Amino acid sequence: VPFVLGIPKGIHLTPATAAMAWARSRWRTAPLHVLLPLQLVAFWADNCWSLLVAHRIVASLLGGLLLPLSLFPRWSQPALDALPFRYMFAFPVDVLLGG
Amino acid sequence: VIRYLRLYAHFLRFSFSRAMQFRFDFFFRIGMDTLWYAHHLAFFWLLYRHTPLLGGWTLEQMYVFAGGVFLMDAIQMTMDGEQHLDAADLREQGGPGLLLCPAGLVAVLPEPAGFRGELVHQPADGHRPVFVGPGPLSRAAGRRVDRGVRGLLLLGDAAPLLDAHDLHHPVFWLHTSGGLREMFWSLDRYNTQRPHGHLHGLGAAVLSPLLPFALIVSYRHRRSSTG
Repeated sequence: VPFVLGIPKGIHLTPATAAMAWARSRWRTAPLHVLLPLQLVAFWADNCWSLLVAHRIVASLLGGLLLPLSLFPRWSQPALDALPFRYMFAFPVDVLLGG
Repeated sequence: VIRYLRLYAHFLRFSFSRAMQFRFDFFFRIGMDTLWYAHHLAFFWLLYRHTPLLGGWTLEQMYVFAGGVFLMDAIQMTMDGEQHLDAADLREQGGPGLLLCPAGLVAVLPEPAGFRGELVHQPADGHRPVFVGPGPLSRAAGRRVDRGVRGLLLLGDAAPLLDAHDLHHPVFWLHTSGGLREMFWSLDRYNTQRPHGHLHGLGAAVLSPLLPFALIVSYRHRRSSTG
């Protein structure tokens, strides 16, 4: 999309920031990789599709895909920081925005 | 038709006993749907923490709208969703629902081949915000939604599904259902599950007349909550 539409003002996208966003988000999502193999439940359950959908719902809301995490109440910010979901969506965007 | 309904009742009984054999999935689907409702309400709640009005909608009106979305989703998933959207895959697998029922009947009957909880809990969940009154959401709307209006809302939620069917019909000529299913859910997400008024400019000019998804929930629930 950036190549077609151009990079909007305010986004400082350089190879260095892109690499940093990618590397740091990969590193910080390490705990998430423990959550992702929910498919392993399939060894004990007939169908774990609903489990994966539930995970996607939670990750999109608490990861900043649906809404910027800054819109969440202040009291919830420590919990959002502690959870791994923000490093899927919000964190790379924050880095690209220079945050 | 009676013969097909009787046959369908047999399918339903068989499917329910089959679903009970895999209780993990059955109950986890209930949990997943509850999460879906919660995240939908949380989305609007978070937005309205920063503004009292969004596209002309108050938070209370948005809750009534969300109740309509839940109800529509429950009816659609129960009566139409997986059965119709998966028709191409079922045809490839020789699904009993498609082999034994004419296409028109399949379109209006809940999924007979794979009963999956939706029939039990989704209509109840979807009804709750609007129809169980005077509940907190009805009170929050500032007026009591009387029984007549509720009945009309129920009928109104069912009717536009016939329009939504038109989007599904190509599955009978497709090899797989995946692409059409994703397209439908994307349109549904940005049109049915969001109130009218959130689109402006080109988006509103193109989407509203061509794909009047707002008719399914948004227009009627805005009217019912403002009087």
